[in-house]
Amino acid sequence: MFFFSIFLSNIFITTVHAESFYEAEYISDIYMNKHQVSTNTTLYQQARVFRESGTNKMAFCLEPFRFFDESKPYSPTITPRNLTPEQIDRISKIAHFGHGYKDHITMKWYAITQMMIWQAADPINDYYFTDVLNGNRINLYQNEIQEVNNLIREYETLPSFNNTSYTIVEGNKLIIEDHNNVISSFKSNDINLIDNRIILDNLRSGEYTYTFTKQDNFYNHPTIFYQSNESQNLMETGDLSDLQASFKVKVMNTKIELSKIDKDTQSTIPTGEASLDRAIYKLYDTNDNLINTFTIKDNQAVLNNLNFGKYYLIEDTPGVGYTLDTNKYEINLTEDNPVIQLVLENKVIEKEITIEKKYGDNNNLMNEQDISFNIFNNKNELIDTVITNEHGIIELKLPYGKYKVIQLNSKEGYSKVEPFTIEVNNTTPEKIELKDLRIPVPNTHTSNKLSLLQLIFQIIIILL
Amino acid sequence: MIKRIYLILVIILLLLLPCSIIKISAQEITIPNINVSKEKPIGTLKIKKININENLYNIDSPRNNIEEHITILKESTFPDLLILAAHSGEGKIAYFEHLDDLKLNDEIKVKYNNKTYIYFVKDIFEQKKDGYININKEDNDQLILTTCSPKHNGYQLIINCIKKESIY
Repeated sequence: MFFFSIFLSNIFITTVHAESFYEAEYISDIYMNKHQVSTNTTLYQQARVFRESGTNKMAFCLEPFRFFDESKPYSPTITPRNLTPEQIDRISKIAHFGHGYKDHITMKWYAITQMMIWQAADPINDYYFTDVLNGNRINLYQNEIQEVNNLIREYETLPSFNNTSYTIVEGNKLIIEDHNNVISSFKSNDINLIDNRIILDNLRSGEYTYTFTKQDNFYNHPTIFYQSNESQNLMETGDLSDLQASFKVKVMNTKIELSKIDKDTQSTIPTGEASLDRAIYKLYDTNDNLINTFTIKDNQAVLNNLNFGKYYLIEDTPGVGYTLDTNKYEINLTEDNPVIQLVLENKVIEKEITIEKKYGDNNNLMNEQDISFNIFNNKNELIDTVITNEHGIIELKLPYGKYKVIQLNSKEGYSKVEPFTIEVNNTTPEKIELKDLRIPVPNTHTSNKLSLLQLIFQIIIILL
Repeated sequence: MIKRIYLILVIILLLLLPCSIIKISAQEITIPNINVSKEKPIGTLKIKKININENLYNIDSPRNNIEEHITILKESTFPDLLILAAHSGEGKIAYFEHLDDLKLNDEIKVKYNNKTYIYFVKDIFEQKKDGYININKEDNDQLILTTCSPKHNGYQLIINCIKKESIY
């Protein structure tokens, strides 16, 4: 662009002296007709070259039905007044890819280029080759015309990803393929291009715009149009303006934040001796591929920068003292929903415990009512005091943990049961039968029989 | 002379009276699952540590008598709960004279019906003597050995044992 500006400046500086052109050599054996529909007039001619006076550079006619006067001066411009921007663009490209482009060096290419320029500059009228001067219409140089059109089309083709926006998650690689196969003709400084693919890696979160430029410096000057008030307008072939393509990349962070709570208390503080930590979760994609295995720590877990998509979260192992959460949690990470917070609940292991208190001898046991027990946790903290009902029964639920139970009172004449331990590590109901037995025993001291005999013998001896 | 003969008869009568009482008591006790001859031993109690290796008699047997042998108390429901009592102190029938020498985890064997039940001592405690012992029924098969405390007058020594295994 800078080059272009300087070039134009030079043009306008040099236009202090008006340019002039002349009709130069004829092109042998090529004849062309121009038919003006509005006046039904047909002009015929042998193909002939316009050249700039002094430099002898070739020029092309832009006004097929206006006469050329080589005595008239011309002013150069890049914005000719009687052509639309689309016409300027089309004519510039025809001239660029027509005569003089690569192997298009024979003079037939001049005639072909001129014919195509007329058709672009004044499309309502008819232009064609003839077999002889003012002869019959012939379809000459159709392949060459097609070739010029193809070159223009190829030039105009942008990469398939032009103006496309991509969104990826930080840490992921983006591979973009140009399905139009033209990216190799573009240049960019900060792109890793392999074959027909662009590979972007290690991008931090943010928004990026990548621009590609196609430059054509074949002539090293732009297309110049020459205008005259009294003669047909002309043009000289030049390079095309730069062509640009671009795409955008938005790099985002995703996050899945999991927190664990106790289902019963809705608190992050675990119940009893249970622990919400060290629960193990597994994350699967929708094809049941294991994506990640992670462990809950400090009641939470965070998964950063997972790709967008749907996932399923399943608890593999609950924290100690909790029952397995059998729910399957669906997680859908999207651009609109890149941060997902999930509260996961676990039910603490609880056991239904029935204490049945009886007393009596072993053959006649009775329900023992109004017997109290203190229950202590593993920190020796009193957590409950329970009392037997009329059936000698206590029903209670205890969460995961070890408990010490101490009997506080007993029926008269009966002892208390020794302090005992209840361990809750499963949900199977447990019945604890406590039997205080009071067993009659005979006198177990050394038999009195011998003493009695001794006494009797002593009496006999006295009596005798 | 008549007076002397009368006195001798009175003495003989006094001597016979306790035996009759003991016989009547023995006939009242039964253990349903111990059903063998009332005169023959049904098993043995063996405590190597204190040199006990004594027969046990059916709960209905007149020989199941504390004045003769180690006694199975009628509240026993073997093998769930077996309560054995015997004299301490001195003399031939003081089978549990050295029961207080037992320590926790000592081994006790009861042989019954060609099967040996091995117990270990879980608790040793004493209770004030009132004609009863207070014990807690354990979930496991349990053996209670009791006698008068050799060391504390007026107290009953109770050894609570838990079955460790049974060997055929």
